[in-house]
Amino acid sequence: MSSESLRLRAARSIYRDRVGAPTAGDRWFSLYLIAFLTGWYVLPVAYVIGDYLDPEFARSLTDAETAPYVASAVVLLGVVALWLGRAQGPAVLSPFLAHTLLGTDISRRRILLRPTLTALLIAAAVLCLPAVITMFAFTQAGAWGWGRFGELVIAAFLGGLLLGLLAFVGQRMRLAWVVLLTTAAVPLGAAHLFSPASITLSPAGWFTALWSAPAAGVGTERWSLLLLGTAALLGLAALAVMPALLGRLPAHRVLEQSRRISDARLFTSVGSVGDAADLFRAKPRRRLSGHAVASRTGPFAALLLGLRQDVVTTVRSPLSAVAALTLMPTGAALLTLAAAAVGADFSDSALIVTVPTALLGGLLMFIGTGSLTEGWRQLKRELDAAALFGWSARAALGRRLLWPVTATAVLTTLGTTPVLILTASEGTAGAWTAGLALLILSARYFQSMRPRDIPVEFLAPTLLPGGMDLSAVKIVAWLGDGVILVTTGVLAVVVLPWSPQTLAAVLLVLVLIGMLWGWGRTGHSFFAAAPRRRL
Amino acid sequence: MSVRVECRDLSVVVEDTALLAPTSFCHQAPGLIALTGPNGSGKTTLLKTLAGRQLPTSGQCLIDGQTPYEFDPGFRATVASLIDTPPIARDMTLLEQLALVRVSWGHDDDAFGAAQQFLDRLTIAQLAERFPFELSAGQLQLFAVALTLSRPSSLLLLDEPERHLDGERVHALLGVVQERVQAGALVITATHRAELIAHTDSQIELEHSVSAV
Repeated sequence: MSSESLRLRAARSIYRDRVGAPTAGDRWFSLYLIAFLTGWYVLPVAYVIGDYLDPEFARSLTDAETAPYVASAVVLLGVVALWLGRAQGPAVLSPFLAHTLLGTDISRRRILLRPTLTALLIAAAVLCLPAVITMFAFTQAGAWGWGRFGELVIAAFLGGLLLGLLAFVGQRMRLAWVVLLTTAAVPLGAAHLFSPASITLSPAGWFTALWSAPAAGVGTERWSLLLLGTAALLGLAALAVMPALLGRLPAHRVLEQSRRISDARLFTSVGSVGDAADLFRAKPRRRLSGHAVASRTGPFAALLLGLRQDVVTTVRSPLSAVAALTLMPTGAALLTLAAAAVGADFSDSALIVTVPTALLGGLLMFIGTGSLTEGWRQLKRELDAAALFGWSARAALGRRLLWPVTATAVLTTLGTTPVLILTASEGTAGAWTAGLALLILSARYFQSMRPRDIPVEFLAPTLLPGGMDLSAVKIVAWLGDGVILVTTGVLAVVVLPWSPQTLAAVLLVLVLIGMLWGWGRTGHSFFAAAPRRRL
Repeated sequence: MSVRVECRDLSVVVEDTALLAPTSFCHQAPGLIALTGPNGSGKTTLLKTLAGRQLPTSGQCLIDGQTPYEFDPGFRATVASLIDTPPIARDMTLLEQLALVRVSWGHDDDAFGAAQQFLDRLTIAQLAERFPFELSAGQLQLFAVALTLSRPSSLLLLDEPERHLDGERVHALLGVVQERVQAGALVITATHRAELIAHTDSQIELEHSVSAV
């Protein structure tokens, strides 16, 4: 064994035997929790979905007609993985180990290979779980036999490994290369969409060939699985064999990502999910603060200043701004697609598609609003100081409304209009999407006004007669209040289209809950007037 | 081990702000060099450039005739730096962390004993079995110094290592740094403390503060 290996082994041995290391019991308990949740919750839910799913409908989603869409969606997943890796890639260590070991003269490939491979395998296993649930449901519904189920599970795992490798590419390469690869993915996705023959040429297509194997012909699935496995193995082997891949990973990038994930884990473990999410917020890159100051006077001066400040806040974090520009229209398009597919009738067999599509659309829009509503995060402090500026509390809110509302309206229209035109849908779908966009803004406002710390009473046990403790439900509801509001509205659009009046009333009530409850959280009176000026 | 550091008209400009005005100097090991100047004169930027963490905008910075390059194992073996607060493991005792640093450089003969002795030299031996969150700001600073000095290096870059320390601890710090110099290293330390400057062999004075270009 080389000197470097011995040094690394000695260092890892001290780290593994550290005083505060997790015990074997801790690890077994985690495995027990995973097994318990899978056995008692996940599998029964998948079984029920499969039982509920119309077999004809399930088969229609796995036939040759859908193959181009599946292949393009997998390409899109690859692009998402590439950019996620930019923010958080698989090559991470604990911050202390990253700082200590990457500062030594030991080869970086040797230091990072094991943790990177471990992270890739864990990521693949985690990604595999929702895929297994979906495929279990489809198999249960009779879309394919149980033999195919096994092949698809293996394919999902291999696909997860390839997505993890793409995340590594995002972490390792310079921004220009990541942009170039993203640009290259556009023609690939388009080729899969418009030329089904191209499906045999990419890993996304190989996975699709397994998904829609009957259409591709007997035997194709084995070849596809083999190709997927070969691609994943080659990727992993490249990490081990090509020294430059891990060896030229800048220490500051590994350290920054290691610190972030370590802090996020710590925050999450104590329930501060908001603080954990803040760690992934893009940092301001441009110094534009000077443009946020204005000396204009007049009746709309405060309003225009608020608008200017919000625009500057969005623009000086280019990554967040790009996220809003892509996620909002994409989310709006998905919502419109789901609302148009539902039509005026409730169709239970279509729920397997409309619910995930609409939920994904709602979540993307909700995440996208984060960049547009930075001003709301500051609003609570502004409200406390509003009297010093001669504003009423409601005026302070008003000056922070213009930008989020305008930008959301524009970006929602950008996503909705093409879908309405391409699918030749009625305007109703667009109207429901607009209503949901309003609800999403309301939910974002509701969440932004939430106090930083969870109320202590939420941590107290809430015992049911059977001895079950419901305190975790309260905590989850408090942490995800905005998402719950959005989810409720999205589900209402999917299951209530047969009664437009009821649906409109539900959306209105949800919007009001978000706005009024959100305002209630600020602790200020909406009707209090601004302080008078002394002349 | 006789490292040589040379900077020629080295400057750093970020966006429109000059973080380091053109600076030139040349020093050869062994020696203890004080890097002085008002806040914002570029001391930390200069140290980061020497450590290979900041690219110069113009001019040249050479360590043993080579440009600082983090992917060169030889460079990493030569240069140790304490510029920002280093990441500290929350769930490891001070002794474990120092021992890990030592073994990662191949010093595994009684790594724990040597680490204990080193903590003793810095007057914090009684904290060996403590976790970092149990320490005061001054004790944490001494521990950060200990982590940096536990590894071998020919060029040691320190950014105000005396912060949070009382006179007695500054004296202990000076002792271990001077020992490193006697062993043949070149130590460049940014500092504002006159008592530390008084013990240095030479001084690099940065006079310009941060300015718009």
